[in-house]
Amino acid sequence: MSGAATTPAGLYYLVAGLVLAVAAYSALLVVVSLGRRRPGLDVEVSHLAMGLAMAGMLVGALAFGPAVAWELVFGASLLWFLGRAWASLRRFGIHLPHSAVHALMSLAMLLMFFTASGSATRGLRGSGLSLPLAFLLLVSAVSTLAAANRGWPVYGSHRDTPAAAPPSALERPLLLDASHVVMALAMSLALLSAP
Amino acid sequence: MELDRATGPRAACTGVALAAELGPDLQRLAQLALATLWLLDAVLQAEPSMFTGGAGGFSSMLAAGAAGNPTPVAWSISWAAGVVAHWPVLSNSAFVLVQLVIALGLTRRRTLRPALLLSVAWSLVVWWFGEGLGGVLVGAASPLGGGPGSVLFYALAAVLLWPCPGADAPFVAARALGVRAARGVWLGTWLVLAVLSAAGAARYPGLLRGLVQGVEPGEPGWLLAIDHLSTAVLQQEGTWVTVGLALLCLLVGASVYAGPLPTKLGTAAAALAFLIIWVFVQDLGGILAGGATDPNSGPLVVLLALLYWPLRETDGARHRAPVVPG
Repeated sequence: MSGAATTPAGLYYLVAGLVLAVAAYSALLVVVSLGRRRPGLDVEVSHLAMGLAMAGMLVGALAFGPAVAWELVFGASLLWFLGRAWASLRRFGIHLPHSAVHALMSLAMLLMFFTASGSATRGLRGSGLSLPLAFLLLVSAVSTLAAANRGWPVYGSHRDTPAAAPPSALERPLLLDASHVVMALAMSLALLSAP
Repeated sequence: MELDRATGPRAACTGVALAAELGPDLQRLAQLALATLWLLDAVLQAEPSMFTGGAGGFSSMLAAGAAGNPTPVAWSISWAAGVVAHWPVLSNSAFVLVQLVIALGLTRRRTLRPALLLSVAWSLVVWWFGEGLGGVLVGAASPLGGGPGSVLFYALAAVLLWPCPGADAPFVAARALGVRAARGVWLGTWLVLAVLSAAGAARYPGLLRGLVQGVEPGEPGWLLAIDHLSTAVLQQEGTWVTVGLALLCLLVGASVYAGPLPTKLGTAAAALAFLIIWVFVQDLGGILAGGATDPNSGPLVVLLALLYWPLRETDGARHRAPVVPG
């Protein structure tokens, strides 16, 4: 981020470290799941991509690849998760699909890359979307935490796809939920701190 | 939370199945909305500029709150600003941590009560040292600008959302305090807002215009256009706006005693009015300009209004015992 050089010690490095940890965990899940056709694999791939991209946005030294490539990645991700969310709503009725949250995250990533690369005529704040996106991400984080603690009183789950195979030993609900919360908080901070 | 493979997402765990029978717990939903607002505050507090000292940093924001207050109050605020200026990273990290703890605590039933208590205490601390008592003692605590202090609404919401078993009807706020006390709190709150709207310097167009102009720099173009409109209206009709707001506050406060329909009209008017204020005067709390630590009073007042929305006994809010986690 443009403010990384002037921020006090540790803040963006700390957040970058956390999202890289999420990316590493997601990479482990992807490797373990290769060949098993495990539902939810797209979520882990998405976490991996977001973690790598976010780390590069927060700490310039960690950035790699052209911005256009990341825009294509998250554009495709957005379309994929929108389709998954629609399919889930048609199958299960009104509820909060986890894929909808990932569509929101993909949109946020796309917007951040789009405005940072100069393709947009004004910055992220000028688009007026940073606040609602950040707020919706925070809502998703709170709902994840509440659901994990059985404090969520409404219908639905943050995972809307039944598993076709038994979960691996690495798939701990606490780590899965923590990954989501970390990514939501990191992206909210990036959205609200952007110029 | 894992998925029930047989029945899909609608009954993923016992807690959700029980809730499905009883209908949504509106008090719990409101608590989670409050948690989201606290989480937003924590993220805003974690912006880079908040960790810097000197002019333009968080300490200068705190120091500005001392102006006009009585000497003891001003001295205490200046002292706090000095501490923050001396240790900007450490102090702001603590502020972020407190707000994170409150937000995360509100999402768990086991930590809900301590989190609510902490939020009340923290709100009072912020009201004194962060908002300079909301400008109440300065005579410039207009509700248009967030008076008597936006953070006080967090404390009020915490009290109204104290967890209690029982029905959400006749309105959510009654669940914690009972109907009579909750109505009294509502009336008292809106009486205070009415007085602050009409008293002191709040009705002078120059001060009102400054409320809008004070949050202009750095905001997106569409919001600046709204600011220009608001500035013009307040400059020309500011006194009528404040008088109208005061009358509205009085009517809203009394509406809870007049029956379900007037209450619905009152709470809806309150929510709509403060939504308009939040956009046209408070500029979404200045969040889009950067440097804001909270969204101001608009969203909180809307939440409070929803807590008083009349509910029928048959609106799914049957008597429920608190859900015990684990």
